[in-house]
Amino acid sequence: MAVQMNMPILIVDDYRTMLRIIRNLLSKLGFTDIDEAPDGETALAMLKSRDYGLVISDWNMQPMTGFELLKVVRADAVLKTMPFIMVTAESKVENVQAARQAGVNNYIIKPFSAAVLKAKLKAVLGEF
Amino acid sequence: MSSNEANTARIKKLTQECVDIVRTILVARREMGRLHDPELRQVHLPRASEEIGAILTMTESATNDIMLAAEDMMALDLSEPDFAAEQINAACMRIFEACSFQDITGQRIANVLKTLQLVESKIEEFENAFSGAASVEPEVVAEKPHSDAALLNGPALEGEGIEQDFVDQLFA
Repeated sequence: MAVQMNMPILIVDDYRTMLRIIRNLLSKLGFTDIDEAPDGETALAMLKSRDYGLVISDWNMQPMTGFELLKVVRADAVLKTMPFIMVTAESKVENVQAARQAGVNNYIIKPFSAAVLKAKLKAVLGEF
Repeated sequence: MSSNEANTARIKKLTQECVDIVRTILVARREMGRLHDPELRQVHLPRASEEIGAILTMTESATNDIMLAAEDMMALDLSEPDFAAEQINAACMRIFEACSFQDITGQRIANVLKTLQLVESKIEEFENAFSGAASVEPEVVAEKPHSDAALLNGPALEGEGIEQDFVDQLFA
């Protein structure tokens, strides 16, 4: 099935610069409906109030980390199948393994290029 | 009082002062020993130094990338508008990518700040130990971090972390 370029995407990061970068890259790739959240807790409330097609989240945030958000999403009956990509500077094997075990769909190490973001989006959502 | 008695009293006083000085030195040595923190010297301070080095390298690299993208745009031949638009788009993407340094350096600076706070607390303990304002508390054994918290390390230094290619293999 073709990717709907107007599907709502939620990006979660406590650095406004990073939110802006990811938003701009997604826009350049053709996605038109992008929301932002500064931490996991805010993101969770937003996920429960709108039907998002994808979450792109940082790991290291307060009060709720991206990893905690991922676990809550996977434990939620409604949200559990939500495509979830982790974009983080945490680049230890144990982080990737823990995220994978928790059910993340893909994992991007910061800093990343537009090409890497596009490749991971394709891997998770399909061709666009 | 005879001059002999006066001399003896002075010698006693001097001797007592010497004993007090030695005692103070011994107490100081003991307190310094208690404040000694090998982890601060062997782990935290070198790490902070490397983090600052990585910040310098990354900001320089990002600045260079942004300037290169801007130079590429300035050098464009605008007589071919479609090609120029494509090149401008690509250059903008490179600028966005380069700007992600701010997030990484922010996390590195946060790690350096943690080390500075550790140094500050050691200095405070040291001052308290010598001012007599408060006794030095016994060394508190650091609580083992919660397993999730143990995964929060921030950006890795060169040679420490894994590359995106390795991650891709795990998700292939």
